[in-house]
Amino acid sequence: MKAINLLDIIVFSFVILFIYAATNKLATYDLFVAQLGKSPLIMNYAPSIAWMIPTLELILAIALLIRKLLLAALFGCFTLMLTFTLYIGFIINFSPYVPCSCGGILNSLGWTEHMLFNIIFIVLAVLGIGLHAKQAALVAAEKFSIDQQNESASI
Amino acid sequence: MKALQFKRSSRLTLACCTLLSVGIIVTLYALSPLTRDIPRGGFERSFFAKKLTTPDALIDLEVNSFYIAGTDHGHVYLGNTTAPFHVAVVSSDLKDSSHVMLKVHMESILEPRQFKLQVKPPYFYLMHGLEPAILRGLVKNWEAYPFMTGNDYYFVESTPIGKEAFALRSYDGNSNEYILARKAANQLEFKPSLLTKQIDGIFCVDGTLHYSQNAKRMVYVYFYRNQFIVADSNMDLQYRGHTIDTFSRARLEIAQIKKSGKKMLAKPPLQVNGLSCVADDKLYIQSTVLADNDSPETFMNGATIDAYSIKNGAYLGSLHVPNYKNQRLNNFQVSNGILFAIFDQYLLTYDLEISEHTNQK
Repeated sequence: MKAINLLDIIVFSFVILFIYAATNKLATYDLFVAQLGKSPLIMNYAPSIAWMIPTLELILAIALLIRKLLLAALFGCFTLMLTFTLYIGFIINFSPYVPCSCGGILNSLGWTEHMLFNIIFIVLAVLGIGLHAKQAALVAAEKFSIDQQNESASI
Repeated sequence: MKALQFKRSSRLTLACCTLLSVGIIVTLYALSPLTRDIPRGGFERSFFAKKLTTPDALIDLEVNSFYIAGTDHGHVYLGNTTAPFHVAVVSSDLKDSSHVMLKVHMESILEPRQFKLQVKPPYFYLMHGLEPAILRGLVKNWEAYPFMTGNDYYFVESTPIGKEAFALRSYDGNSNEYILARKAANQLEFKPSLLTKQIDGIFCVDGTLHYSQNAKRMVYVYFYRNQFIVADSNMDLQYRGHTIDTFSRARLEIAQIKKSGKKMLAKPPLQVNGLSCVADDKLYIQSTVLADNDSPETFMNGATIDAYSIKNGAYLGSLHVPNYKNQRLNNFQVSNGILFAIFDQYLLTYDLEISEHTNQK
């Protein structure tokens, strides 16, 4: 039971994070586009990336709340957070200058803190995937024992 | 039972997701301008014999807001962008420095940070294009008094021509373009034929104004084309010179913002000429264009500066100033064969040893 609670906490954290991040970006869309336009990696696609990222975040937030899509969503969270982290790592180490386009409260984080924040969420996603498998196994075991009970009852 | 279970399929999916992530970043990088070559100019540089590897002297100015406002025999004068009335006087060998607060005799000043300082001993000048105001004072007591009369000579940039006149770059409200002008005591004379429009008349003609007291020539260096303008002290055109690269047309994309009617650059522009200065009969221009015989690594790790003769615009040779502590060159001035260069908060000097050699060409 404890494992299932932890998974719920992880899912909840991701949902809050993504909804917060997405609404923040959409609320200041113009600014977000302008900031992305300065990033050497994505300046040519700034307008499309500026709506793709928040859309993806909202889709993931919704998918996390649907039981059947949970596992796929967790893989999605992992991929998205890893991509953000690699992007930040690249910008810090290889870009001739460092632009910033993180929304709201994340804007006040330094790059190292930001990196740490992202890595924690990557770990959470991996943990969530593991917990999901365990939960599935538990459910299967439970189902198996119920089936057996039913069988023995029918005999 | 283990705390976590990772099925083979989960591990495989995680690996695929990681690959996808890495793939996205690598693709973005491959498509980004970072992997594009630096523009090569289809020309060659010939470097002066003296290689600038280690500075002859160095001083830590502790803040990065200083710029070189002037030099004379024995001194370099530094203005400060954030404290506009603060002047640092540093000896040419960078061993002594003193700090001065200017006394400014002016009733009220809007946006004092607009003041730009130029020191041409025995005088120093404070120029403010929005007031507009041009003040003058003596270096020996550092007191500035209003110098130019009139209130119609707004400018974005200015430089003293001799002791009584100023070259201005102003915004012409009628044509919505930049225009050069000469301001003397009571008169303001526009010189509309000096700047030549290529695209919009503002961004495409942007550049830097200089005046060489020694050569009695005004020089204007365009940022976005391979050209500079040389005029006499009356600002009558002498000739239009060309830098050694081949970018004769400004390459800019200009966006007009509908709401405010403002114009702004839509993309980072292709700049060909960076920082520049004049010293006696020479013009020094930092180039951002890679020559066919330049090594891209060296080029990126410093500033490449081309020297031209102000007399006839001839190319004299190039020099390479390496970055200092990974900081790029912010400001430079050549004076009596010494290069003064500011990198972030550091002022460095290099002995160029080129003044005699190149004069004989």
